[in-house]
This record gives sequence, C-alpha cells and structure tokens, in this order.
Amino acid sequence: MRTARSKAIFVCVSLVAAFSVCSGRLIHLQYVEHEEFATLAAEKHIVKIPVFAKRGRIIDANGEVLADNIAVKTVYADASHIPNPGALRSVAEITARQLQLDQSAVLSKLETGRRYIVLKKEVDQITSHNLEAELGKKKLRGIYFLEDFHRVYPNDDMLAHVIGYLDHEHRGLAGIEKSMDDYLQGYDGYRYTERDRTGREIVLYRGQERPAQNGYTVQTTVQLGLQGIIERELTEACAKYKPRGATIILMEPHTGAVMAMASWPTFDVNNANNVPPEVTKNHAILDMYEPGSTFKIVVTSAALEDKIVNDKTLIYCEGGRFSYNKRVLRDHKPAGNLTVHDIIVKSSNIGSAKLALQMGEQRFYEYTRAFGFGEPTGIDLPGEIRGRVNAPFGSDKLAITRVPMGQAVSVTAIQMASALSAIANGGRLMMPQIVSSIYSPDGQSIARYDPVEVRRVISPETTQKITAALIDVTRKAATAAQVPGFLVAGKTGTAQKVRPDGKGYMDDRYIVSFNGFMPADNPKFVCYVMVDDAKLPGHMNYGATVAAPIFSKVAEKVARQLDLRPDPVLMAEQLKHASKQERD
Amino acid sequence: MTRNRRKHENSVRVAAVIWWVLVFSGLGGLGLSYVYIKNQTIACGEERRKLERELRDFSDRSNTLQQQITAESSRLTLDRKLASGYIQMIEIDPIRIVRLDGSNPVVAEQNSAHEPPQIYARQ
Repeated sequence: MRTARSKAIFVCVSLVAAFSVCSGRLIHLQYVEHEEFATLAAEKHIVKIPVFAKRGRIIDANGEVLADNIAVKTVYADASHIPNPGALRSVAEITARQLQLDQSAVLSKLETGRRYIVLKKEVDQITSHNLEAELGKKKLRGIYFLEDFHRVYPNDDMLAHVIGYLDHEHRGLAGIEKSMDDYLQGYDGYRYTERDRTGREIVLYRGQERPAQNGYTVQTTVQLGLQGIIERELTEACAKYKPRGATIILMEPHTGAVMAMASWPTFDVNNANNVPPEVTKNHAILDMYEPGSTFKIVVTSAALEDKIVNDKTLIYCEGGRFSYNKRVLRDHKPAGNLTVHDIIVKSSNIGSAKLALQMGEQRFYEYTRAFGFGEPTGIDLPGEIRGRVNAPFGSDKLAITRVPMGQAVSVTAIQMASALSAIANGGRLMMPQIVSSIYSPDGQSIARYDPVEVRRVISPETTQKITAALIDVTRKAATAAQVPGFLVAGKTGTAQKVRPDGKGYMDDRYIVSFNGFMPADNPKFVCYVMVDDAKLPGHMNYGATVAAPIFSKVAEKVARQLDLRPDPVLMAEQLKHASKQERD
Repeated sequence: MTRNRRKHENSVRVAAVIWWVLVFSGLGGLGLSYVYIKNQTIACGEERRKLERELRDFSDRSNTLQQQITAESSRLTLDRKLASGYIQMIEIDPIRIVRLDGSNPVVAEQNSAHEPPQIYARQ
C-alpha cells in the first residue's frame, strides 16, 4: 500500500516537474526572449510595401494638359517565396520572357534570396497582367507588382524647354519639372503587412499605414494656342534661315506673365534622355549674347528720364564717324544732327554713345542694372543666368561708347523681353512669371502667383516718348514688322557674334533680333524674336530683314488669337502707304 | 428508504453536472465563436483585398483611358489631324460672335446687312 502511494507521489512530482519545466520555458520565451523572436517573426512575414505618390500635372493657362501620368507597374520579386531551384528557374524564365529581360540576369538576382528585388520599372498594364496570369496558371509565386506612374507629355516637343523632364528616379531635371519639383513630387506612402506562405497579403494583419500624398497640379501662364503660333513660325523661320539657334518670347507687359516661350532646336520631351544636352537647353534663359541695337532703348530712356536731354534735343552724330579714345565708331547711315527720337529711329550708334557720355558711366550703369540686366529676372525656371554687365564697365575705356549700342554687355532673351515690358507698361519692371497657380489633387487652390513689380525704372512720360520713337521705327525703318491694322512699337538689333576666344568679332556671323510690343497705344503683348547665326550673306542678315518679319507674322496671329481688333482706318493708311511705296 | 441509508448513498449531483456542462459548453462555444469570427475576418480581409485590387484595376483603366483622351485631344494631335484633313475648322461668322466687353460689331453689321462680314485676316 505504502509502495503504491510512493509510486503515485513520484508520478505526480514527475508530472509537476515536467510541466513546470515546460511552463518555465514558455515563460522564458514569452517574456525574456520575446523581442528576439518577435523580430524574427516580423522579418519573416511582415513586409513594408511602398505606395507611390502620383506626380502632379502641369497645365497651361487654360487648363490644357502639358504633363500627365500613365499608370504602370514596378515588378519586384521576393525570392524567399520561391521554394526550390526548379521554381526559381521557371519564375526567371517566364519573368524574363514577359518583361524582355536577360534570363540569366534575372536568375542570378533571384538566387540572392533577397526579399525585395526590383526587376523592372514602368511595365505597362497589359504586360503585367500577362505575367501575373502566366505565373498564376503555373502556380508559381514570388513575383509582385507595385502601382507606379510614368510621365507623359501629350504635346511631344511643344513647350519642351519650359516644361522640362524627369530623371529615372522621377525627379525633375529641367524646366518647370525641376523648379516646381517640391510641389509636383508628392510624398510616397507605405504599408506594413503580412503575407501568408503563398505570398498573399493577410489583410487582417495590416500594420502601420501612411497613404501616399499625390503631387500638386502646377498651372503655367503659358497659353498653348499662342505657343503653337510661335513654334510654327519659329520652325518655319529656322527651316528658311538655318540658324544655329533661335528664340521667341511672348510676354504680357503689365503682369510679366510669359504667354509663350520657344527655343529652337527643340526636342521630344517624352524622349529627352536620348537628346544631346545642347538641344535641351532653354536658350531664352540660359544663353547670353550681345544684344546689339535693341539695347539702345536703355540709354535713350535713361537720358530722357534724367532730363539730360529731351526728345527734341539735337545730338551731333559726326557725319557717321566718331573717334573716341583712339577708336572710330561708325553709323550704318551717316547723319549730322539727330534728335533723341531719331537716334532710336535711325539706330545711331554715335548718338547713343554720346548720350551715354553725357550721362556718365556710373549713372548709365545704374540704369542698365535698373532695367534688370546683370541679374537673373527671377523667373521660375531653373539655372537662369544673370548675363554680364561690368561695373561700371571695368577697365574697358571704350565700354561707355559700346554698351549703349549693345556691345560689351551680355543679356538673355528673357531680360530683353522684360526690359521692353517696362517700356510698354509705363515704366515698371515686372518679374517674368511662368507659373500662375498651384492646385491640390482635389482641385483646391493652394497658391496663386500674383504679378511682382521689381521696381519702377522710368516714368510714364519717358515711356511715352520712347514708345513714340519705337512706333516710328516700324513705320520708317523696320517696316517688315508692321501688322495690318495695328500700331506696332519695336526695335531691331543686329549684333556681330563674339569670337569663341573673346577677342573681337566673327565676320558675317550675326545675332539678329526684334523686340516689339503691340498694340503700341494699349500694349497687350511684348514679343522678342532672336535668330542666332542665320545662314545668310552679311548684307541680308539684319534684324529688320530676318527678325522683324517673324515678329510681324507672330504678332498678327497672336492678335487674332487674343481677339484684338484691327483699326480699319490704320489698315487703310498702311495699305495706301504700301501701294505708294510700291509705285515709287 | 430510511434516512440513514439515504445519507450514505452516492447520489448524482445533477445541478453541479449541469453547471459544469454549461460552463464547458460556454467555453467551447466561445472558442468556436472566436475561431468562426476570426475565419470570417480573414474571409472579409480576403474579400477586401480582392475588391481593392478590382478598384485599382478600374482606376488604372480609367487613368489609361483618361491619358488616351488627353493624348487624342492634345493640341499637337489636333494640329496633325487638321493638317492631314481628318478634321476641319470652320470659320465662325463674325456676326455670330457676341463679345461681352461691349465692343460687339453685330449691331453695325446688322444695320448694313448687305455688306459682307468683316474678317480679320491678312489680305
């Protein structure tokens, strides 16, 4: 009896001891080693899935789409879900075939056993569906798909330099894509989740989640209708003159809003990464050059504003030959006494130089800077250069006579358009604007870019006098710039190209330009046309013969697009004048 | 049966048995409910995953179609279609244009009905 009782006690104690050991181990696992095993389990089953943000759209002033996204997939592999070498080979074969990849490269990637291997980005919907279906049919797993977006530009090469393009990481590399990248980009989200042994997500065990925040829509000031006009004219002109490059800018003078901006040569933005960098360069803001006679508006405005002269003051132009500091300055058409008005109309180099000499170097320099030369205009495009204005014209003793006629000074096209806008709007220098508004993905207005007045440069009275002279330029000198029924104000420029080594000028190589606005009495737009090195003989390569006709064609079409109404009386006068000239 | 005999008899305590049966049934039921609800949750999760995927597919298709519409109605495409003659533009008779800025020429043109409408084109 006692033996049986001892046995029973022994069995009980053994059981208690055994269960205590098990319990102890369980407690040890649950409390002491909890963190370690929990991390191990998480590593095995929990995955962080990125949720890509959709990049914001870029639209024009009227809401036409300039840059959009198309849904694509990023194909990635979780090699830990592919059970054996046979399956690994099959997955590699199917994936490589469907995605048009090298099979051995895919296989070697899968053999690393890693849990997140990106196989291909920007895979279209059809291909990804086919791949998924084929893998599903053969019950293979380990290949997954992430939602992503591919950037598309529906207008190909239109406005290419302004819109810009992206790199492979979807970061802006040029144009608005770069300058507005922070707004367009958005924020990628993520989701922690668990997968079962077949690789399917277990929704029940979804963990922390942050939704993607899509990028904002950026609205530009550019009107695609006007952009189409200037690009067509630019292409036509470049086919005719075969220049090295050309630029047209259309600007609203009162607000500084850029209505259109085109550079030639252009490129297809959808294929930007295969284009030489020189072609993707926005010449309107990244190229500087000597402007030539279009710069004479600066010295004449300054002299009138400082009341050193008035528009009737006579300046002796030395009969077309003026010697200063042992160098001779010549006029294209020799003249005696010229009023300030006529200095502009006849584009007298000597007259301009004498005005600057009367003003003095320092004062002229101040006006040059006040018109915005020598500093970036502040347009929302990346990499804008400042041009070059030496202070006050440095050691070059001839600069005081050369800068007034647009030599020994370097400007950008946007600076020229901006400076003429100041004349057109009554004397205020406006900051050129290319972006007008930012909208959230649900269409709420986030920011509005109001016009920015940089400074007042000259008085309205001075601008009226300059405008009167610029009107006469198109009536008497650059008649090719006229537009039937409209009063045009503008100035031509013909500048010899500087040698690459900076020593002197190249023969028969010119940068010709026309900078004008219309209607002169109530300006609605400023149009700057620049043609770099047109393949023409020197005697035909002038601003008045090359750039002015381009301006005229552009301005006429722009006027129609903007519904500007021609003055029938003026039109009749122009026709009468034209027929009289033909008879003569 | 005498009182003494009844006292020493092993009686079945029905109430206690029922009590324990109920307790274990309850616990069992709770366990089964837990499993059932968990299964249901997993099934719902699966359903949700499928619906999310379906929704994403619809969204992708919508996005693709939207993009196609954008491409087809882009200015470049329309210009090309216009150049090829696939579409044509018809000039709007100025008499049919109403300008909201008060500069409407309609009245003048209606008064001179026999005069041809003014077209703002370069001659």
